[in-house]
Amino acid sequence: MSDIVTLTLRAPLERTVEAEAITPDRFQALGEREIAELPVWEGARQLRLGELFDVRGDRAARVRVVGDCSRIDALGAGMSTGELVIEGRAGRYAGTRMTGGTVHVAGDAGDGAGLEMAGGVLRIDGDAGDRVGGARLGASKGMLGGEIVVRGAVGAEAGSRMRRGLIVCARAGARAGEAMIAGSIIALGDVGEDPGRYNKRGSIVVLGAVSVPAGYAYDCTYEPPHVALTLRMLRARFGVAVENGGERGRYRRYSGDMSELGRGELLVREGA
Amino acid sequence: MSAASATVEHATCLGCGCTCDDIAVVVRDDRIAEARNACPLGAAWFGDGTVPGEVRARGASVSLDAALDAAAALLAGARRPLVQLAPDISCETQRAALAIADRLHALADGVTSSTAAGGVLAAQRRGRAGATLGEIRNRADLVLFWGVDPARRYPRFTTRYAPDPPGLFVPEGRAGRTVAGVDVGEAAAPPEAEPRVRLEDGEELDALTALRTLLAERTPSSSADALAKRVAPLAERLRGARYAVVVYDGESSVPGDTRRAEGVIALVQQLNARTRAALCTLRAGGNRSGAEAVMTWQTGFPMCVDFSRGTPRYRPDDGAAAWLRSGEVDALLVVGDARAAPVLPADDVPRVIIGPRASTATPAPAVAIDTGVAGIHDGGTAYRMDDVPLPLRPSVPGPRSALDVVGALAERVRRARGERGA
Amino acid sequence: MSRLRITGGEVYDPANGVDGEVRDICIEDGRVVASIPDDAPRLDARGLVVMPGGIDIHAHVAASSVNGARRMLPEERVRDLAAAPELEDGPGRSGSGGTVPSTFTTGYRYAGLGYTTVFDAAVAPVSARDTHAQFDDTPIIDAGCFILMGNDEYLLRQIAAGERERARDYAAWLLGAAGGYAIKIVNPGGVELWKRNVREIRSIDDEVGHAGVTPRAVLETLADAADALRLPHPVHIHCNNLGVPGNVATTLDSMRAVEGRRAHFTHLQFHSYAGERGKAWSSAARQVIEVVNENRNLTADVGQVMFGPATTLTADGAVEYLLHASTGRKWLNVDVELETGCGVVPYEYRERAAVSALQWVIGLELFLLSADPWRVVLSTDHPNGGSFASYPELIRLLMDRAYRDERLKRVNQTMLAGSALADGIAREYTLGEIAIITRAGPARQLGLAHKGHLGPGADADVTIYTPNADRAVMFSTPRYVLKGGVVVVEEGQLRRAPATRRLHVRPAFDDAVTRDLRRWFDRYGTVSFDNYPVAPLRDPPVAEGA
Repeated sequence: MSDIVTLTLRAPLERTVEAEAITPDRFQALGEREIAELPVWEGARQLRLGELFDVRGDRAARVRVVGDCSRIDALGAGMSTGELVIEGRAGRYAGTRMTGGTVHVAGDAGDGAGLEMAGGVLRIDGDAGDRVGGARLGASKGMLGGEIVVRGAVGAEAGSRMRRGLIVCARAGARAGEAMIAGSIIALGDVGEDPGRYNKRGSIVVLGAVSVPAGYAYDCTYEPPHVALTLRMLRARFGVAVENGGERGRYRRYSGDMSELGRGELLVREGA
Repeated sequence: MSAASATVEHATCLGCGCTCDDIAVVVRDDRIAEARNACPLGAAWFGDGTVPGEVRARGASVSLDAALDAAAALLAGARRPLVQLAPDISCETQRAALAIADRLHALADGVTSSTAAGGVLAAQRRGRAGATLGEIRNRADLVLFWGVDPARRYPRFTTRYAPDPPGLFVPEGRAGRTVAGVDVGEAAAPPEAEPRVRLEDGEELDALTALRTLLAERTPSSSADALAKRVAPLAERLRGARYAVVVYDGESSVPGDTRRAEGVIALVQQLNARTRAALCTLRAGGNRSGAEAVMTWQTGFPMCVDFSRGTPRYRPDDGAAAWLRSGEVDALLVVGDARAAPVLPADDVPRVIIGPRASTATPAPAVAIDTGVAGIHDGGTAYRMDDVPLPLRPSVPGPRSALDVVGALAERVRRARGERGA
Repeated sequence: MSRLRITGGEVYDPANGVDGEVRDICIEDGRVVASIPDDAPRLDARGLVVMPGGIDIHAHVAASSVNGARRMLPEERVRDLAAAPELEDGPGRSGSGGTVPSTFTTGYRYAGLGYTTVFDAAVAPVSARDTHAQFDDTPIIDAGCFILMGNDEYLLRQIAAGERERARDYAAWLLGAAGGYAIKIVNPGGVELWKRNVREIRSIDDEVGHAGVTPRAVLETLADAADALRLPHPVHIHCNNLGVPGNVATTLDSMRAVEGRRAHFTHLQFHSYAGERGKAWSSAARQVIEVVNENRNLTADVGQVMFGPATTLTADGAVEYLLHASTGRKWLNVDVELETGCGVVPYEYRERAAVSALQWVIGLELFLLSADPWRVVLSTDHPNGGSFASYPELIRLLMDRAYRDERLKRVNQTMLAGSALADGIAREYTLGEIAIITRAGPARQLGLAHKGHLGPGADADVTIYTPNADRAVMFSTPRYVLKGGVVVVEEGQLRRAPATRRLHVRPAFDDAVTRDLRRWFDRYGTVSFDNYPVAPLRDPPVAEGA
């Protein structure tokens, strides 16, 4: 038994592959050969993991994936424990529906990272695509729990319909937190058009610039202690640093969406 | 057929989603001389009933057998085939085409994902309070046209369904109904609409929010205040209606963005707390609604189905257009009128087209088999925009029927894959 | 000529007075016959239990409302995808499940439970074409549908005008036009009122939109029609005030209102509540079942609630709005063409929820206090009270008191004071009684002479179970299922999907009604009169003429 399993991509991929088999909780019970036999899918074609990757190590809940995985979807999908490190880019749906453990993408991630995630930690050092921690189109619930920390920018509909959990990013695209049911989104920088439409509850914290949607009403300006606490926690655990003025700060609080329950909040940092 | 003149009564028109079934098709010498009761759009759809009857492989005429064998070989050998249900085929043909997709472990989609997904997806999130067109005609005392004047793309909607015709509970017809309108930028409601709200494109979503905030008796935010004042009279009329109908154009959805449809759906559901209200989603013709119904009962999902692993996985984040863009589709089967299918792939993707005017597609498909048009040459069933199923009454002889060709192709595909037959 | 002898099985064939006797069943060309030559192929059923194929008298599997539910609820099916079975008689089809499965999966899963005949209980006539198309894509099971009439504006007007013969002729025409099997009434008059924004009916003598038209008049008129037309199945009634505390009053009034006419009261459980809106609920099962026990003209199915996910789906639109408003779950409503309504809301019955627990208890009380299994049969009003997939679990609850009492301890007790089940009911259903409430009883109630039994002339629809003390296990995995003499399931594996039959009626009527109907369609219809009827069905009607 080794302390880590390393998968090294044998050659660049020409077609998208779905590889939800790549999860630490599976690997920790399997030997090297068994891991190499796990199924992955190229469209309708079933392949063995070993055909795409050189597999080293066995029976470990720590997994390293080496190579450009931008065409590999569903890495760590549904994983419940252990650590999965992707030393490069990841395809779509990284960590989707995961319930525990850690997925760490050292590069960029495609659309749907942490989609409908229920627990655990998803770290992305680069940028991420649309619907990070959000809901599949047509689905009524997004992220159910856990933490997503993106060092770069995220695309549209981050945290759409999320019900619990935390999403942190440097910048967010359009329609961030659409129809949130609860949970928190923190953007250290700017946020795109129309955040929080149709929100019932939930909290969207913006340290950069944002235009406040018409569905939101101004309440007050104050220094919310929970935001400072969360930002400190983020620095301590993930090394996320807040520029201009550090963790403490005053925020304008707006509540909305008035056409829904109106119990959601938009916190916009002053002097941003 | 005889050279004499004959008339086919109660024919169903698929020119738009109104699916009027009161057309009298006058036939002379196997040509359509007139489509009585049809609107200009319908008349153009019927035309004179002539369509090409070619069977081609790479542009050259071949026998049907040869074409089917080529098509079957191409599809059975593909890694990532896509089966697309295009307009102007019957539900019976759609069912047979979807069966091929299932056997091939293919991707399958209609045209809804490219043109009208917003309403479908928003309804999957919130549901929908609707009614069949007959209820709208017989009950509606207020008809609100939201950013659409049916005159353009649904010409007989106003005279056949609402607001014009007398209804059981609206015996005065037009005089017994309020016609309200919301203009959204260029998308204007009918000229007669009063009360009327004029919105810039960017204001539509906030106007919906303001309306719903007023109806929920909450105070709009100061930034929404001006807009709220503009829509307040409309809110009053909606609240005071006995049976309010909101009509909007389902074919105007922005891919990936469900906000507008969701706002309209939520508005109508909310109205039902106090009065009765129904949402009417206008849909284009060619039996699009039928394709959604068939995909839903056969797979469980109305569009964007991926059979690649042997089960129907729902992929609304993708769909035909996205799959074609991805460059991974290596064979495309279009069943129906390919001109109305979304984004056709780059020339290097081999296409099999089975449907009306297949042979006119450019560049020349790998295989093109012209068939009749459902409702003109082929019989069967088509669904109206409100999912009411109607029979089709062919009026003139056409080329081979789409259903027969797709059935024959299914058999060849089975043989090409070395499976036992049905 | 295809023949098969099922040998040495323990046969439960209540319609022919056979209760667990070891005997052979002989099959020739899809039918049961008295005898076949000894050299005919044999199927060894020694040590196994043999019953007729199951018959579901009330489910929602192929109506336009069902497809509406599928379309609205992708999330429950994306988690339950089904691959195509490998069949010996042609390609199988993939699909998806959940509480409202796709058509192919519906057929396969019913057959997998030993069911070979299913009725869709609520079809809007204008959408009947949709239902028959869905049935065409529902493999293995024979099927029929009930046609919604209790809120049909044309019918209500005939009643208002005192034209009860015309109402009967209309019902007959409508059954033929829709390819239906029976007359269905849902919340008589109440759905039309909902369309007029009147959301409550106090009694069956409230007027429903027309002078002199009341739920009582609708019940009388259509019960008379079903009798006069000698329909194989009586009028199939979903009473007013479904799911409303205190609705026992309207339920009992409706049962009295039919006065000796044949009538089937469906999903009784949803109509057996004492109490008042906003106040405590309690069980009225005893009152309701006693009336059923005493009146031989009445039949019923229970509509048991099973804990877990469900999809509420009904023509009773008003009910679904209330459910949407109280749960906040998504909501589909369709008001249908001056005919009927439709509502859908997803729902979950929880052991720990007081109302769910009460509903679960009431259903079991109706089963256990029923004096005549031939007249009170099994249903969950699929998918309203729970999926048909939960039938084996329900059978275990009926057959195994120890298990039932143990389950009872776990449920929320808040509303169970004075309930008969809480006081303890010893009854355990026997295999013979289960064969009645899932086979012979529904067949008799439906007037299906060739189904629900294993006597000569019967369709050779047979289910063969491996005995097991755990009845849920026994009934969820039949050893063999035969449909029309063909083995369709073996050891839980689907083997074949033979052609299915459509069960429908074509009663005669005075043609004068169609002349009047043409005028009605021209004035108020949006479908041409000539385009309204479904295409002629391939199979001959079960009954025609009058």
